[in-house]
Amino acid sequence: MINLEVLFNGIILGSLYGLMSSGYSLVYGVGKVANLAYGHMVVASIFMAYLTLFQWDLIFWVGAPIAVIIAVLISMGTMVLLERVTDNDQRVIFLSLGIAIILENILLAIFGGTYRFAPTIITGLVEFAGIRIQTYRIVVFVITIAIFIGLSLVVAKTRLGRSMRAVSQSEEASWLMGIDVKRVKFATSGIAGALAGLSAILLLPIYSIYPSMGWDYLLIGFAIVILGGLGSLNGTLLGGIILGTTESLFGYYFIPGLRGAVYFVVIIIVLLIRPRGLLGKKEASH
Amino acid sequence: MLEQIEAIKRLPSKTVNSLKRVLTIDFMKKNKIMIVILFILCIYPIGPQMAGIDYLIHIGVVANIFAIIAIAWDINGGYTGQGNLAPAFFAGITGYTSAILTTQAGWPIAPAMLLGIFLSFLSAVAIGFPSMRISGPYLTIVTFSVAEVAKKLTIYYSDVTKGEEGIGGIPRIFEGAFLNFYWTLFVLLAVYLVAMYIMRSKWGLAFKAIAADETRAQTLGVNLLKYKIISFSLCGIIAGLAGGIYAHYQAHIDPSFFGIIMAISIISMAVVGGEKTLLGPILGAYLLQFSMEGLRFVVGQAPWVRLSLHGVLLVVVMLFLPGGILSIFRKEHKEDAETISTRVKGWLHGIFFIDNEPENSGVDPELSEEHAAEQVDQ
Repeated sequence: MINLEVLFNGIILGSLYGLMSSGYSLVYGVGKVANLAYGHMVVASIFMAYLTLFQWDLIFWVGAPIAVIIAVLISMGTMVLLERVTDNDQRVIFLSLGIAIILENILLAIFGGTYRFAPTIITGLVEFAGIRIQTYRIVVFVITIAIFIGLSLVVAKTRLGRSMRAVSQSEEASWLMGIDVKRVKFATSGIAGALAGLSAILLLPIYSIYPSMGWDYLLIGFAIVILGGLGSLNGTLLGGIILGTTESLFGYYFIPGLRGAVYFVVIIIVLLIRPRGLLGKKEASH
Repeated sequence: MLEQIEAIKRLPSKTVNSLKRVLTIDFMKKNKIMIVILFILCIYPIGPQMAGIDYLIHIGVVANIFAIIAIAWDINGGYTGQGNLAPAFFAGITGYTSAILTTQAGWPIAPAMLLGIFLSFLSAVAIGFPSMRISGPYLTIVTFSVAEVAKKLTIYYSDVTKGEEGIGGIPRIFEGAFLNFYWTLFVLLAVYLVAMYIMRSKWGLAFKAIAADETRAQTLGVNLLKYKIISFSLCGIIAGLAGGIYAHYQAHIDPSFFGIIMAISIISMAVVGGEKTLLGPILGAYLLQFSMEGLRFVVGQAPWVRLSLHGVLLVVVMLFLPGGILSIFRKEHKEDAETISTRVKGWLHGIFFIDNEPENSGVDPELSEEHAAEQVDQ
């Protein structure tokens, strides 16, 4: 019998992971830019939220937007740099790795390498059919699903969403159709930053915070994007939930210290068996 | 002198020809930078030795070892174009195998290191197979996660690996920094020559073909699987050798060797010095190692300044000088260095006027078309 509490917590955590990776999925899907600094962007935003909410004691509606804005700024700034080298995969990789290292060390310089813990704003437990889950996590789940629905609406219905889908299919063709490809890419990276910031605020009380956790988030994000399929938002949510559940169950039943190995195994298996992911479309030929 | 010439004459003709090629003035003129750098390396420790500053020689030893790993990465990541983040992982495998066998099983150093190198060869082959199906950032992430998992496993199975503290008391091959410097320099030069030979052989051509365009290389008859695995295993063997030497020089090894920071520092050495060259990694390793240690005096013990140096250098080199420092001296990359100022201008322009294409602004459309045609020709 599976422990239902662990299962539900895994699903909630997984949906949050999915939200975090959706920004990555958008940037990579639309701009074809593998931003390996994405994990550190999330962490920078987490630290910013920690700073504003718990050290400066700002009220939530002032502190949280600051964290989101920081993530948006970093995301767009990274895009400005990466835009210059998009013709070469390897240069994109190393440039973004360099940015990641710089971000990590800036955080290290400001906050030091110690582990920090943030208290939850919403406390209490919800009991339902013998399963006890923190109220905070339920709130997180609801917010995450709401953001996902909003995001899918933006991508499906608005003009920006249409141009994003067009650019992700073919940059040249959308350029010829009169879409400002560069502007779409920057808008996408801005949205990705906002998603990273939002997920950072939700992630804040769940894990301990330290500067080098960005690498873990990078791996999580990449594993989910690969698992769910590139450029598919539903796939990202599904991938996130699968990964979060697997990770929680593995940590509970086997070895807690090796939870991180789950991402790696997922990445390898998916890439070898079904490289386009669960819900990914087959890539158009160049 | 005459005896030596006689001895050279008795060597097989192929070797004589290559020796003759090395000894001509023409060759020396063509490879001025290489000869200068190698000469400086050979005489470097004499000064600190006379002054009695072992610490300076120690930095040189570490730079030598990292230069070997950087060359190993360059064969795979630079020449073959695989985004490999695992060179430090290969080095760590040999380091750990050799350390565990010598300290806990009482093996002598040589067989322990050989077994370690064999294991890193096997793991390199194992990583080489997925590289057939995945490429670019995916391959980078896979190699990165392999290294991260290795780090986690090392910390987790702490009864064998001594956890985060690492294994200490590993027996040394040579005592004293001076001797160690020449021993590591000897290995570095041997690796350099072997790598140079490989890159000029059929293998090297195949590697470069794969890096330029995989599909095209395959169409022209390059066996992708074979050469990718050869490239990965060369990286594994050479990096493994360096890892073993490192463990037996420092007498200590810890899990941070597997970590991403180590991998990035090694890659930034190769990239800063000059990717797709063999001298670049050596130059980069020395430059970074000495500037890291120099920064220690300037900023004190704050680790973040020294660590962010890699990041800053990677960003600057990738943006403005993709050929690395060596490309400033090299004729075939000279235009790279000359366009730095144009690049900086374009970059600044891009930050402040995102919508305008800097190369098209104020330029006649016909002229810019000509420019594009020129670029296609190149």
